[in-house]
Amino acid sequence: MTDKCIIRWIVVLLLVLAGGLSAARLTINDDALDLLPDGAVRGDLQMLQQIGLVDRIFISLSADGQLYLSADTARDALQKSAEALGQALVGRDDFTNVLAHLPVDLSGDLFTLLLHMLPLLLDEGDLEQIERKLTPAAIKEAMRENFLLLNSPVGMAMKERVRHDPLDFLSVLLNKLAFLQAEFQVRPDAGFLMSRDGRSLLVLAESTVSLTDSKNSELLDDELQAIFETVLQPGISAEMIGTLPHTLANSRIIKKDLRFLLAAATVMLTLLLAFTLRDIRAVVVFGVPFLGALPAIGITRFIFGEIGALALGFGIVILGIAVDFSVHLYLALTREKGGRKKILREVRKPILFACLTTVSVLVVLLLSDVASHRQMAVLALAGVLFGVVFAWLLIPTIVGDREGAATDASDAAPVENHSHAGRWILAMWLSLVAAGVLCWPHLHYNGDLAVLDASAREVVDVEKRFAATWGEKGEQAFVAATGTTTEKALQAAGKLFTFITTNGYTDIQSPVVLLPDRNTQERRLAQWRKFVDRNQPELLRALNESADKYGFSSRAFQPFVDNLIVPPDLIREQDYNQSVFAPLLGTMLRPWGGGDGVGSRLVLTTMGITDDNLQPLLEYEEKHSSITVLANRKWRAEVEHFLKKDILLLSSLAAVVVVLLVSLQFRDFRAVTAVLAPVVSALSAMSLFCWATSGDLNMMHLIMGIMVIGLSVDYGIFVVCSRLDRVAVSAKYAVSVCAASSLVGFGVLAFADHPALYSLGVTVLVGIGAAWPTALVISPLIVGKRGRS
Amino acid sequence: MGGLLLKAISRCGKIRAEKMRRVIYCITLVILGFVFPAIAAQRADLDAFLAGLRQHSAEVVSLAGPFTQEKRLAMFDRPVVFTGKLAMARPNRLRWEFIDPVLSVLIFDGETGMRCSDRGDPVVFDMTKDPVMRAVGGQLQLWISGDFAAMEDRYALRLEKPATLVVTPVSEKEKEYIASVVITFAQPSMQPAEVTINEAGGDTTRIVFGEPMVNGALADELFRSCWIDD
Repeated sequence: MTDKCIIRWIVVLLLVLAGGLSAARLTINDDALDLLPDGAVRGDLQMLQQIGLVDRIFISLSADGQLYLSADTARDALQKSAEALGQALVGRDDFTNVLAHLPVDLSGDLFTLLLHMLPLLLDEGDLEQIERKLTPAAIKEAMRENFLLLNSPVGMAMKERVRHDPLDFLSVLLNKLAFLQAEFQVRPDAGFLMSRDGRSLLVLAESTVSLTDSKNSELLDDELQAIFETVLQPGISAEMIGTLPHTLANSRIIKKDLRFLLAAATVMLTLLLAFTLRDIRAVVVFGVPFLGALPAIGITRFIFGEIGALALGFGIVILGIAVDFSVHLYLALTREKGGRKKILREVRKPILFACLTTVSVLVVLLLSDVASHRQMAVLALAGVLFGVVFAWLLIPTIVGDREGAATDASDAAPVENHSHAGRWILAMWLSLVAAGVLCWPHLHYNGDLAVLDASAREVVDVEKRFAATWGEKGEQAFVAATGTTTEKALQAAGKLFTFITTNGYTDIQSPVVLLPDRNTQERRLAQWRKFVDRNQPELLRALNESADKYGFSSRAFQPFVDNLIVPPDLIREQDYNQSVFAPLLGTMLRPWGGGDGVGSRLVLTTMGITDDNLQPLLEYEEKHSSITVLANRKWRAEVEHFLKKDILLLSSLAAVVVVLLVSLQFRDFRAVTAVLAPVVSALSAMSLFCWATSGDLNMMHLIMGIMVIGLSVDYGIFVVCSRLDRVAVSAKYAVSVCAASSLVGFGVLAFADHPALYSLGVTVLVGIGAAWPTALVISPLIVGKRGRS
Repeated sequence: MGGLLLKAISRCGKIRAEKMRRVIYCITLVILGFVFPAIAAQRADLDAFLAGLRQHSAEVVSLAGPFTQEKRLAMFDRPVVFTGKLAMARPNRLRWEFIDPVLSVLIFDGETGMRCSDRGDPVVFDMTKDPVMRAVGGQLQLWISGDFAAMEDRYALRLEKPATLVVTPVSEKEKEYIASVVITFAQPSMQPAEVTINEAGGDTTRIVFGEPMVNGALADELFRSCWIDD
């Protein structure tokens, strides 16, 4: 090796070292939000994550039917397990908002609390209902009911309630408390959330670490399993639903896929190289372009600060395009006639053209609205450039000056375009293109990221069991009302509540029923006073008369009379601290850091959502800046719309840039057509395949589609250059080696269980599978036997 | 206690403290010698009584009979007397019916139940959703089960001869409502003859049961419908 060669290696290795040092400080995030377009949806999901809905864990404890024959026997074991589980979770930093049981059961204390607050919780419509309870006939009937109730076996439990509320004003409020109904069908028992059949118990918790991160999820799952083992009574098992099992299922399936498929791909690639290049230097040929990965990661870190795991993985995969340049260079240097300088001069043009085309496609990807795509583009762009430069500098250093140059690689097309066979082959190719074009309009871009979710059968089964035990609600929307103070947030939530209750929304859950804003409370109190002043004399007279008739003493209902007269204090959030409502209010009234001020508050309202009632809600959101609608239905449509727009725009732009560049490079219609033929074949085959299988295109198809376009156009460039300029005659062999290695490397992923890896593998398999023979057969046919030199 | 006694006696200046300690020690031993056997005997009586109750109640599959209830509540100027009929079928069905002075029925049937008066439609309740009814239903089940020994973790039991059981709640929460329940059993049938519930505030409920029909056939309708044609 000459001094010049050694200097080249030193320069490259220094660059790699510098890149490695920078890459070592890279922060890799595992945030699924990076897969979403910038803008409203991403902001919504960030809010959803911040308010803890993404990181909620629902733990369903169930009793073994063989060990616990009845619900009664299971009850004690379930409740002991839940108590111990709650204590174990509360004591750890990884969990917050743990709810193993409610602070108190629904008891007399609750009724006393609500009765005291009643005037502040009833609106005008409620007062009308109460007024109907004040007629002499209604009072008489109520006294009779009270008389019967107190003498029945239920009487002892109801005595205080009857004394405080003989006319059952509370029922008006209790009807409204349906707006606080829990998300699940639970039966409170000694404060525990039992299922209707009494054989299961629900424990809720929230993770303080992000559960969309697979590493966090694995750690948390290990911790939870260890806790379950320690705290659960014999015969009690725990099942979880929420983000956690989905993240775990995806990460485990990917690991399982890669463990087998990567091994298979490695063996097959080694065999391929052993049979094609038959030289140990093949390792260098394939390895040198990947040296570009480290400086590329360093540049990406410099620009973005951090990078998503997905962008990192796919970015490195895409920069593997540079391997093609390395292989072409190596094969030209080892198989073609002439000196090294001549060969390098001849291959410079196709390599430069191919590199420019690839780079232009990646530059277009930089314009994407999706953060992950942009990171991926920068990484791949820098990687391809470094890879090509490194290959150009280092590959000649491993090949002797006149080594193996006797190959007389014939560039002749296997068939001529004017021959019978040539016409048939062209006709077949045109048929493939026509079929692809015809199928394209029928393809649907599915932007729902859930199609890339590999929920294992166990996860789905657990979710079904959970729904059967705890009830299944239809699709819900979460609406966040934010404000710089609790008061402002409650005011916004109160207005929203009025809007949704008057517009027929169902399954509403709102904390404003229990905690109206201060203005509302003051207004209601004034209304209540007027109401009492107007009705009190007649009410007391009728009450005393009816009470006397049923033998009640004159002071039997004194607490009720006192409550009428004495105005209650305004309700504060902390008044519910020790009540049964505390956990619920804790999840619905949250600190919010997304606003301008520190200490902002967020009030959460949920409701059932359908296609019909989503639009009015979104219009309400448009008009009120403090309101944000968080709904899957909204995101699905928006994400799909944004991604479709993004991808269509980028694809069109990439197509224009590629066609323009190839046109500028070759300035000949037939040559340009020949260069683009592999790309057209790849796209047509992918279109046909997707139509024949699911009819859907997903994000993975499109990302890998970009890589396939980059590779295919390079095949066309190398083949057409060798044909036109009668140079680089080893091009076809090089194209075959590159295509075969791509097929082996990525194609095995078509056998993956994970939908994302499967889509990736299938895209490469079908795309390269079509582009390769097109480059070898169709491109030469199109360009014909012509030479420009 | 011993210390206080010692001081009191020493103040009299008659006996020196050392001697006094020995005397008190002896007196304590003598007292314990009498009290422990008495307590042990009471416990044995109670256990035998509870075992007898359990045995009798295990033989009872259904029970029906009349009763009279007298309530003395502070909310009423005078005692209120109701007469009615009770029907019970193990494991979890109960019908509590008032006939006079007002018609009214309360039914517990497993996890559901209904309440009716002579006016208006029956009010059906689901004990899984109604905590008050669940609590009341649970209490009634507990009392009619006859397995009083099983209640001992929640209630202190005392036997008053010949056949009266005094039940006192242990938990402070329950003590807020109930001071004690006194159940007198008829002999030799060992069926409850009279129950007096003494509430914490001084209110009392006394229920006197008439001659019951034990293990007779009870119509399913009794636990499904408020009004039945006799």
